[in-house]
Amino acid sequence: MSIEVKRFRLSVWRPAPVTRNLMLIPAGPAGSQSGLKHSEFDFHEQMYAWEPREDVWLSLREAEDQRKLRQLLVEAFSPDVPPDQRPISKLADALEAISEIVKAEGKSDWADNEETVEASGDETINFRSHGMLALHNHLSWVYETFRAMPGASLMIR
Amino acid sequence: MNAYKLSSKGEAAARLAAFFALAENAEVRIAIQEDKCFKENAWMELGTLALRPGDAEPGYDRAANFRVAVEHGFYEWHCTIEDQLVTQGRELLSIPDDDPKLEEQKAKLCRGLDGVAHCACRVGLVHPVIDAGSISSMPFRTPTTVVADTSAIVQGGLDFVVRFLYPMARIKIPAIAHMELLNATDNFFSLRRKLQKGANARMFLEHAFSQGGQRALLRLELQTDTEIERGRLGADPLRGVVQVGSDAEDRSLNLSVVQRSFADRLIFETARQHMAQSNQDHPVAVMTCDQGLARMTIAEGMQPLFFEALKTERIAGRILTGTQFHPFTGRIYAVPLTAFLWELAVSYGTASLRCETKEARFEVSAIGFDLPWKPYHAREDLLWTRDSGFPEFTGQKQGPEKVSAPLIRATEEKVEAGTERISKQARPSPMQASMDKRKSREYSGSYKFSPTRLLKLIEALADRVTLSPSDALAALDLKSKSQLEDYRNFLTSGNFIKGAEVALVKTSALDDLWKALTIGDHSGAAALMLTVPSFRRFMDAVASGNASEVHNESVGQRSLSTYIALAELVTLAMAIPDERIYATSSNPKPAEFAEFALKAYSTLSHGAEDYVLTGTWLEVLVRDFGVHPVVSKNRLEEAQVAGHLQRYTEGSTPETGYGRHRLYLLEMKNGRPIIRRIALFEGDFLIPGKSSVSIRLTRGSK
Repeated sequence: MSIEVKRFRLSVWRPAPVTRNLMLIPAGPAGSQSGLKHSEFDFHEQMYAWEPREDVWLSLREAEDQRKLRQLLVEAFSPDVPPDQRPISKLADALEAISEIVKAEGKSDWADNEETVEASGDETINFRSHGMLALHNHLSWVYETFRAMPGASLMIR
Repeated sequence: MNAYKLSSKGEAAARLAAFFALAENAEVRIAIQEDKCFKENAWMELGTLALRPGDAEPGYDRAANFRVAVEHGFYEWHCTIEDQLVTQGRELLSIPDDDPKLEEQKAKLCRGLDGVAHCACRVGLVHPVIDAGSISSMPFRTPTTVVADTSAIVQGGLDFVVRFLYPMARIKIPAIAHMELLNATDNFFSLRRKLQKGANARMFLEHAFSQGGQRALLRLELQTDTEIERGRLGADPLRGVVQVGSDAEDRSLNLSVVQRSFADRLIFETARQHMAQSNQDHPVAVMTCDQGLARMTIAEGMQPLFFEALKTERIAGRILTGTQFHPFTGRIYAVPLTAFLWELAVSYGTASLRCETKEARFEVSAIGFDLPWKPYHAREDLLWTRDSGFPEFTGQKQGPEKVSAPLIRATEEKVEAGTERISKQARPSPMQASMDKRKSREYSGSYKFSPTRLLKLIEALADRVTLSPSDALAALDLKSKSQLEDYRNFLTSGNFIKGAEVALVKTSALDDLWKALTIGDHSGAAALMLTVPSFRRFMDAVASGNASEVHNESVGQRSLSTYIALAELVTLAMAIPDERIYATSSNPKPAEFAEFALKAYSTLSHGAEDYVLTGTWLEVLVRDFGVHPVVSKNRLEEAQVAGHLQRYTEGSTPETGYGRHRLYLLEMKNGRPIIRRIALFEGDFLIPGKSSVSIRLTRGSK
């Protein structure tokens, strides 16, 4: 069973080629008088979006590590940061930091997940995972997939 | 070492559970062996493997706990770094420094070693790095045919498509891909029958390529429900594909190689033929990691599904885990340990797990001097296993003096709120915390158990005044006392039983609960269940609509499925997959329900009088009006009889993609309540004996 828990939402964007003239019309009665041409904006299109159903932070034991990784992931790739300052290549720092933490003795651990799997009858077993290891493996794949794409940026909420 | 035995993955999982029970907290090494080209009794080390079973689940003994971990991917593989593998490989394959073809041999060794990464990719421990442009169109929104070339089959691209893109992705395997693999298989067996000096690296490579590739195709055919499209391809074009190799080693061994360009063209022609037969707008993509084939495909006006050739460097030095995130949905998926071992064994001959400190060993072999192969082995996915150093594992009895896992969980699961939350599992000294809590007898935790077994226990208690722990265990079909803890604590916390230390003594509340359950009085049962503090906490959080509160603060994460099931049974809530848990306390009168029902129908049909999916309609009633499907089912009939609305239903093939939309239901059978889990979209819920996959509603005369 899944429930909606917004913990970690990742998306990859790149500059969108605009083939026709576009105009932004603010909603409301005065909208038609205040159109803005597309040349005044940079449009980006979403290439990939992903949101884990589990709490990826649950496997970390130390608050300091959580703070550090949040800084390298959530803050570094926040939507508030301009796209050119959050390129995919910047993810390498976070991957390195995660790798150090998961390889260090006693800093992270496996945890039961909310997600279950049916065993027999109505018996269910909770999945177990190492959230940070699974996240590291997934982010590595995202990094390898998109790192060379010109202008691509990563956003994490 | 005992004798080889032909084993299924399930049988092997039981032995592996016994192996890991013995090797708990000790280092376990994983290795592979090619029996012909490696030095005798030599193994290639691939790193260490650690099983992470966690504490025993209530209702499961220790053996079952280890087995669950083996079967559901609760393990870490610490992969040996690449340099060590190459050094090892040269030693094992007897490639001397002064070999005149040293570079060529090393290249073949490295390609053979890449097969380890291919194994990991095929089973899903890593994903192929697919072209970013193609990823942006995934998961496919319209049916798309993927024509896989040999590299996609061997390197895990095909398995990725089947695992994550099916059923929108339709698979087509060109005949030439089978033929390439068959040719490699012939080469492998030729070498195996007569291995010439200096051909060890070649054989190592041919083994991994041919057997790994054929296994991927067999898995596709026998173990998945993938529909494979097989195009017709005449024999003539294939005639010139194979020729004697130009490599001196190939010539001396009389081996044949495939003319790459011709084979690639035939792959492409298969895709083009399929495109010509399909609708004009049906997308067809050639999946390959061959740059030449990908470029030709683009030049010919078709789309390639290109991925990077997978090298050992991708996994070297990394820790891969058997539970991973789905790349598109974010859900957890599992790679059973047996699946990984099976893949390595087929690709290289034998895979082993070894615990030096306990002198225990487990081996699984796909080929060997006295190990025959039959087609039914492939159909049932059987391989040869043998082991040593550990006995049959029948489970470890947990004595009464030992604090049981469920109690630890129950007290641990109070989770700190806020962003700086620390793993509840990872906190030090949970045992002490548990002991302290147990003494104080505060039932502030949450519990995980089987609702069906709880019902059995309530029934057993309803028949008498007291129940001894042994009788309770018999009623629950459990073995050890510790497994009873969560059931007992749940009932005690709601004052349904008392005096739980010596025997379970029922209270009048339990009789009331049993009565409500036997007459199908959902609201009465719900009111009684709400006297359980943890259930009340859970329902309060659900009613608040704050998903985070439900998840983080009400009950522990591992108990969540139990509480959802209980809430669904007494019609207080329902979970909609990938959304959240909705409170369903609304109990409208027929006339009011008719308005809700028509509004929900209108939302889905956009004002038209079309049939809509019954499951979707029931979910809108849950989401928008807080009406539980059981209430909707009852009110719908009442509203129809009263003339508030007219309902029409249609039976048809249930929609795929809603398999997880299921509901726990309390039903009566032979005068006793039973629990059934129904699929909301399969059409057998709304009207007994009549299929109602789709529904249409019109306003009634009243």
